[in-house]
Amino acid sequence: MSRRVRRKVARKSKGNDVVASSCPEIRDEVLDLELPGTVDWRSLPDDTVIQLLSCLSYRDRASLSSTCRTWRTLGSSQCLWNTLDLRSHRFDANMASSLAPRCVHLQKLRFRGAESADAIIHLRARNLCELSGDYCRKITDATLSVIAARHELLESLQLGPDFCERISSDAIKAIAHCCPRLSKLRLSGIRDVNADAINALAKHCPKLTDIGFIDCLNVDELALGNVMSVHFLSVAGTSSMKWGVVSHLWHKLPNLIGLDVSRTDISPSAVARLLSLSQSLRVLCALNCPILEEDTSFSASKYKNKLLISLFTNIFEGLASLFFDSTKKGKNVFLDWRSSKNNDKDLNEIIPWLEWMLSHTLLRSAESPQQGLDNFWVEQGGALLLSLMQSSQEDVQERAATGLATFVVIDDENASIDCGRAEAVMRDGGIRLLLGLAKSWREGLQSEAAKAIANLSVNANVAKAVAEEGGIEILAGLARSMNKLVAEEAAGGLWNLSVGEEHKGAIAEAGGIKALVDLIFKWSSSGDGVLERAAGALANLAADDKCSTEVALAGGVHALVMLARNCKFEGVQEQAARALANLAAHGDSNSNNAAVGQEAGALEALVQLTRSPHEGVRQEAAGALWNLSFDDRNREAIAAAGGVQALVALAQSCSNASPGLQERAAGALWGLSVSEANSIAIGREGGVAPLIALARSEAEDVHETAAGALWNLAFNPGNALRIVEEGGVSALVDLCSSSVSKMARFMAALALAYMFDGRMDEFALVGTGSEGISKSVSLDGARRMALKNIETFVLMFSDPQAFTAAAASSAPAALSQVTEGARIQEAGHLRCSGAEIGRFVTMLRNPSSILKTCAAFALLQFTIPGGRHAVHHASLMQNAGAARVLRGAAAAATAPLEAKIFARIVLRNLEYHQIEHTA
Amino acid sequence: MELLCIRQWISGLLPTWLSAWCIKPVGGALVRQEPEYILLALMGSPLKKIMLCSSEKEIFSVEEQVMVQHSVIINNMIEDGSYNHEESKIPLDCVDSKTLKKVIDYCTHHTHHHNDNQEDLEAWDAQFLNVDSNGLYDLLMAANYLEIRNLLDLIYGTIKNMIKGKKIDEIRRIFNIKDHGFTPEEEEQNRKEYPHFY
Repeated sequence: MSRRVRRKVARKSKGNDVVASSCPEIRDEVLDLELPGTVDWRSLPDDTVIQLLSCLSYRDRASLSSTCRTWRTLGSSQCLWNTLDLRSHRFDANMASSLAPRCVHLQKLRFRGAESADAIIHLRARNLCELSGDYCRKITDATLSVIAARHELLESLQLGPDFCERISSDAIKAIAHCCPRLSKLRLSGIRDVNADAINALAKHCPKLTDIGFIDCLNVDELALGNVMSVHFLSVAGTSSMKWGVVSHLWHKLPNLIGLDVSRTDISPSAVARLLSLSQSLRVLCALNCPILEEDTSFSASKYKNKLLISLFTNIFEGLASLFFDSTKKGKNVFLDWRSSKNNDKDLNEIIPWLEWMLSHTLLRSAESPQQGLDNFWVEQGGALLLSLMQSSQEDVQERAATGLATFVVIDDENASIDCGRAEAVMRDGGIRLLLGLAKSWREGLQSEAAKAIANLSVNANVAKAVAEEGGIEILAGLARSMNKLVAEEAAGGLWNLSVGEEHKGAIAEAGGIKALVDLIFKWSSSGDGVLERAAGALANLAADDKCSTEVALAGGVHALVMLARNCKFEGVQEQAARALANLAAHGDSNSNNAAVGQEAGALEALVQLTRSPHEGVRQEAAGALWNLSFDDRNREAIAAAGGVQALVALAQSCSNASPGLQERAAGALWGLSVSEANSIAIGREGGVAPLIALARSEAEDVHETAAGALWNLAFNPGNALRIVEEGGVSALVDLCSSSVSKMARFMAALALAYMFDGRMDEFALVGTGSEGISKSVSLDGARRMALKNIETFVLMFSDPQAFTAAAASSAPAALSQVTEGARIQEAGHLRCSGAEIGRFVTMLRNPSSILKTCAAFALLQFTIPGGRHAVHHASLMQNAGAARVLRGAAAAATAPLEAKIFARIVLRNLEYHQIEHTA
Repeated sequence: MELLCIRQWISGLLPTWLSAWCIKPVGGALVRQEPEYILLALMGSPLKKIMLCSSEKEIFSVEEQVMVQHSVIINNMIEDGSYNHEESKIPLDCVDSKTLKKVIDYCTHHTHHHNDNQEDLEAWDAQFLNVDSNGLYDLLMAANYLEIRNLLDLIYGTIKNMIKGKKIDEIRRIFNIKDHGFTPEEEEQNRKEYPHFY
């Protein structure tokens, strides 16, 4: 029974945005506050309560404000409602109406999704200045126009980074007409921004200084040349720009200070023209522009006082040069700028703009991996993201953290990350920085930082650093968050960290297991992402003996079974099944195996999951059933729940599936076939043929388990005959003679021994009457081939010299030498029933000397002291009175030398166990 | 905006303080020296002391620098010269001895150990705030009164964790709120709206 642990990187998601504050996140210390005090806290001064409220999440703020009338009044204070971040909430018209009385003075609003956008007007926040939304693919012209019309004081409007495909120039015109104070407009992914719209902006919005038409398809560059007010302009990622027009027009924009043309096909000549002709331009950002980068002769150094930011320039040096102060160098330019009392007014605008644009471009570039950026990421990109993470703009911080989470991932499917990049992040102090962000009380930052930590932790070195810096405690704390996004990313972090054996204990100690189980209960009805990650982390943790007990103690069995039964998301089903498999993987060492089976509906659900359309789910469900069938009662319950039919069907359908699924399908049948009743059922349902097919697999794990299953099946003469009829003899013979796995060879040999020890012949004769004769003829050929291969196999483990020595002397040392030569390490994990042991004991008297030897060899493997079930086997043999038969075999004159020596060793093993037992 | 509120509140209190200086402590006030400072004094550094007087009229002698560094109020008093080192005591009528001693402990530790690594400091802070609900309330009031910014942040952070994700009734229990003043209808409304943020 093997334990299966898999690592997985959390899926990338689009960049999101939010702000940091001074309120430190304290570890959950045990405070004796459950005991009610005598002081009435309502006597706190108002300003103290307001300060306290301002550090709380909206949810806690609502709860605290609902505790008494005094605090409810304070909770509505306008200073608490200047800004609102609705991104992690379901925001609809009802909720907007209940918030409206508090939002009269709302200045700043962040939202997510088109549905939230529809509800914004119900807030009646007429004084709103800043509006920023993400995930706005579906937002329509109508919604946006109404928002503009109801918020005439709007100064800043940002929609992105998702493409707002349904927004057209009409909505932009409406914005221009309604919002005369507009100074910042950044929109992503608009199909067409025409001249009408841009001219309307130029005419009606005299204060418009910051324009971004990012990732658009068409932007009228001619009209943009008319927007005299613009200081900062970004057309990053916008395609089909006419750079000729741009370079002849835009340098005439009198106030243009910063221009972002990143991720476009701008030409070197256009860049040169803009840099040389514009009077006002100070920064031109052209990251990731292939045509510009191809021109190796291009140099920006000749343009005095103008900075070009591109992949081939030293960005940090360039940024430092903006200060006109050569003392500021190194990788913290943004930080240096903030700490310096700089009075350059331009610079105070340039840096925040640049931070925003850089974070945006870096995130976009990280999301669509390209060739040739490796050096950039390792040398500058990682450090830039870290530096941006310390920005004072919350959305920049978040985007930078998301960027870090994204740029290290090479392949989402295989969850592989780039070691060079991950270690560059670590080298630049990124782990500490990320953990610092994760400790901030802003939930947007917490989730993005946790995501970055999660992805980076796929690298074992990073995971170690995270653990050493106290990251496990922080993540366990975040996993308790009431915010789903935060909890989800924290669970993802714990998932990846839990891959490391050395971190499992630390996660348990930090209360991570309880937190993960609670997560499942908390979000059981919604949120596939958080459930998948929590179950995945628990699955890894359950692979550890000690942790698996803790998972059960924390109520994990019930939680995971609930997921397996009720959850409709395949990712969740897969991880829940894997977790149950790992929980049950500890055999006798704890009671989890039985506990899972006793949970109502558990086995039925797992049987059902083996029919899932998703291969991963089928695989893990089969793996769980395999492990669970270790317990006798579970085994019968699985069969009663239709497990035999389901697993046979699975084995029949998995001929082209992954080795993992094939292994577990065969393994589950192996587990079930331990009881003869199941064995017969499997044969009847048609399980023999697919198992033979699997036994022919190249993959070691697959044919090993298939051999195990066939061995159990062959115990039953009816099945043995089926195996012969389906051509299984040659498959088993091949395994026995040439598998790389000793275990597979051993089990194949035992299967053949069962098939040809005579019981099948009786069955065939009784069963088929007149056809009996022709069958027995064909059986003879098969029998000869089988016996020959069994003999070769056993002889492989018999060193003639050791045997001669053992025959000559009865000294224990000689026998030990034979034992060591014959020992198959993994066979110690096999557990046989009394009937099986009895059959081998009987086989010791078989007329065939090969089978005699084989039986003695098998009994030797099962009783070697130190084997997991050796004591169990020894007692079974005592009960069957095997000692007498063994003594007979050891003394028999006709038996081959090997059989006699093996029998002597088995006798000695029995004596050993008896002494152990009585001692 | 929030800072503004505090300043107004404190300036309203100052006159009381001034009048309090004229009143001599009744009886023989107990002067307590913190052992740490004696040690420092013995080592020969001429450390200026200031006197703080608790609500029980117990007098604490503290290194001036320690309090100036942490308490905005005391810093202001020293700076504008309204504290006379020869005669004045700073009366803290709403801070009892037990709490004042803790506050002084906090300021002292953070003055002398500010170079320690973050983890040790955090562990010390956590231990420091391992008090019951009443104790936390007193500390919060004192930190607010003396305007000790980092202690306030520490306490806010702790309270924040205490109520994180708790239900309304649980929070009431923590803060010992017995009479909430809501009508039953309003209570019902609270419970309904609570799953959102209100």
